[in-house]
Amino acid sequence: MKKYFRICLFTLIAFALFCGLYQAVSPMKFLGKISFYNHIFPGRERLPFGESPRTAYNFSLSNMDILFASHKISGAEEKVPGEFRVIVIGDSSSWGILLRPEETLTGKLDGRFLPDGRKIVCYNLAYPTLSLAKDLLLLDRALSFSPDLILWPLTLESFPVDKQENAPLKEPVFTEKHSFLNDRKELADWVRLQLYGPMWAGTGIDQDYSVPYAPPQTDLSEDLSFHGMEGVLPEISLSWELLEEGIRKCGNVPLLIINEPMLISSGLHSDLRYNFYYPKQTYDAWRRELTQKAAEWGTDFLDLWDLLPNDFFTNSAIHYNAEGATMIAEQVYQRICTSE
Amino acid sequence: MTILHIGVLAAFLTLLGLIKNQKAIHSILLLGSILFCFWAQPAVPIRHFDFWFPASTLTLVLWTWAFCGEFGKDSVIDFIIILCGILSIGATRFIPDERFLITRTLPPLFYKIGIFCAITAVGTLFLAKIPRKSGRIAFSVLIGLIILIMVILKMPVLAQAFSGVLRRIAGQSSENALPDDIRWLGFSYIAFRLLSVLIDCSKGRSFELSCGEFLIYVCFPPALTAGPIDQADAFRKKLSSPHPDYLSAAERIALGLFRKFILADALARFSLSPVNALQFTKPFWAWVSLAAYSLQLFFDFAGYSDIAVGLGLLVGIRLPENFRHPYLQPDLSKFWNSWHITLTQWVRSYVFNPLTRKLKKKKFPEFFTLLIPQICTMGIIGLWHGVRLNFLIWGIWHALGLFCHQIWSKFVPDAKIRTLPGLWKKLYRIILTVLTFVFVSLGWVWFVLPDFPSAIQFFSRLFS
Repeated sequence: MKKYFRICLFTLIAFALFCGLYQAVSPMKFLGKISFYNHIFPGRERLPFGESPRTAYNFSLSNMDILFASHKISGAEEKVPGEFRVIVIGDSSSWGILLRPEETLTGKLDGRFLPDGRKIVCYNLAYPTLSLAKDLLLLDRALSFSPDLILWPLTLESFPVDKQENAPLKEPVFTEKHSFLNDRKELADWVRLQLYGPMWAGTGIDQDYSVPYAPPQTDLSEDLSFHGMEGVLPEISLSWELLEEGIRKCGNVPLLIINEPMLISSGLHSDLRYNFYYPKQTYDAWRRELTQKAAEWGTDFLDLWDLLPNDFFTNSAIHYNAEGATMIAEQVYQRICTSE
Repeated sequence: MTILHIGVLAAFLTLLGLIKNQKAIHSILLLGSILFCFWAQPAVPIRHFDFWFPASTLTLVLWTWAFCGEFGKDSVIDFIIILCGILSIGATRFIPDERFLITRTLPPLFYKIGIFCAITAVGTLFLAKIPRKSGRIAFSVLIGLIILIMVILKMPVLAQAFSGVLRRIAGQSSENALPDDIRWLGFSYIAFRLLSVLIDCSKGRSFELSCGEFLIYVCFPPALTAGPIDQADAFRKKLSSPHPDYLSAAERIALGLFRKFILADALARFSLSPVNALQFTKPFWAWVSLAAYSLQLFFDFAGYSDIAVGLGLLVGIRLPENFRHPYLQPDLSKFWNSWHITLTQWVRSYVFNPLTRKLKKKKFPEFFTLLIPQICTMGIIGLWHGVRLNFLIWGIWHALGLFCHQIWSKFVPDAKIRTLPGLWKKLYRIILTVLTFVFVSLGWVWFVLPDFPSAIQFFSRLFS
């Protein structure tokens, strides 16, 4: 019995020592930045995201260090002369739900040449959540990779104040010591992401394309409210200041804000609403305001809200297909060529 | 077995190991084995069959024992305990709170369980009356019944048809019948234990297990779902003089948990599967996933075996080892001597050796007496995993490998290798080990992929 007690005691002491050592070292500070991606496996074309890891070889995690360490931009070499580096931020439509990496806006722009002979090297740093606060986090990181242009596709649904709470991503904070028990999820996420590396490297698959989906709703409700609020444009409930902050952050780095295309329904109550997301009067007022503010802040703006026909949308009023991405890329490319 | 099953079993067996009274251990273990059969039985979409499957297991055990064993005083008591156990689990349907059910769903109507127990009892008494020497028909019926159930479980077409029949009996539509409906806990292992005892008995070997001991042997909770397959006599000896070894048990269980729930589950994320097999665009990563599958399978299976051995040690019963570094073996024969050892030994004892002896007696050419028993043995091992062309090909793949190795051994005997200088000997062994691993891994392609065309396509990707 004494022997068993000694073993239990030893195990407890060893565990306590390990936890103490972990807290002292706080390895997540540097572990998040270490990745097998870009070394053993090729870097990911877009930030990790997914709800069916076993079939998508990808999953959602929140630690920005881990996310970025797995992205190919972290393994990108120094910008060479002749390279025109474009970084796309934004939401699920820019990330490319149901699209392969080469079918996204990024994929369609990558490798094109500007009239002056520079080659566009485009990186997809979008993340599938509608939130300006999350876009700002991504923008912060994107700026550290010396971009020549930032593309920021957005839509009204990213603006409401309630969308800024509970951001799905977080910048690691290292002001205080982290315990092993607190960090266990992030550690597990780090390990899991590395374990999906061989499948990403071998198949190039990073989402489940076989998921059956319903086309976006075209028969709409009579509801005129937007996020529970009635009125033309519930001004105080939109986070314009975050957009302004983003523009300010970019400083001298050129920024192109794009009003994303959306499905314009012609079904029931389409006189009141454009689609599942937006009442007409609210969206129109927001679009006017966005155009006005972009001019006021002196930022480049491309309004593509009605660019795509309805059959170009896949499983949502803002998710477009590969043809849609090609049309958008064409418009963006023309604008880049004229601006450069 | 889930973590919950392992935890509960560990607690139960630890407490049992603390008891000194041999009779008490025997009775509690008997009841525990009965309860575990019902508790661990997975949910079945056919109404009440999460009760009928384990109940039928106990019936088959009793009938097999009745044919081989003898009714002593202990056996009568055990027999009554078993029947009362089935009835008691059936009686849980009267408990108002469903959380206290042993089975996944409410047990069937009590009178049906009563009739079932009566049939079991009459069958047992009838079989016990038949003298073993003149019981050829009973022996054939029992063997036939067990093999028939095995074939039904392993053959998707028959399993679906059988599910349809059972669904009709249960008053459900047979249109929704699926092969996966027939989830009979641990039957593959139960069948091999029952068959070995029946075959031994028919050959006149002595059988000294009491009714309760035999049930504990067949349904010993740690080994019920994934083996190992012990010998009845050896198990009885361990059961009669148990020596719990908690330290070794904890070590083995910890090793098993690490292998199964950490290594195997981690490897599963990038190991070959029917879903990802045809998604690979780069051969190198296809090889990596194949190697990962080989290791995953080993850690998964060996992990379960470690847990089973560890749990057995808690109550003082040392189950046989099932794996002994199979991927570090330098040839295929040694691989099969260290991979799923108890199954291989079983098939060797009851198929390979008798068949080889028969062929040798009939003076067939040597290559024939080498090849045919290998093909039959490995074919059976393949089909034991499921009656599918790919499993059969997997078996034949190994049979041909073993045959080639036997031929090779004749030309390059081990004695010749032993004369090589130390470094060359080591290098030779490393090369052989790698080659054996590659051969076994390529064989797993047949094993993991569901059909011939997808296996061929995957091979073409590997070598493209």
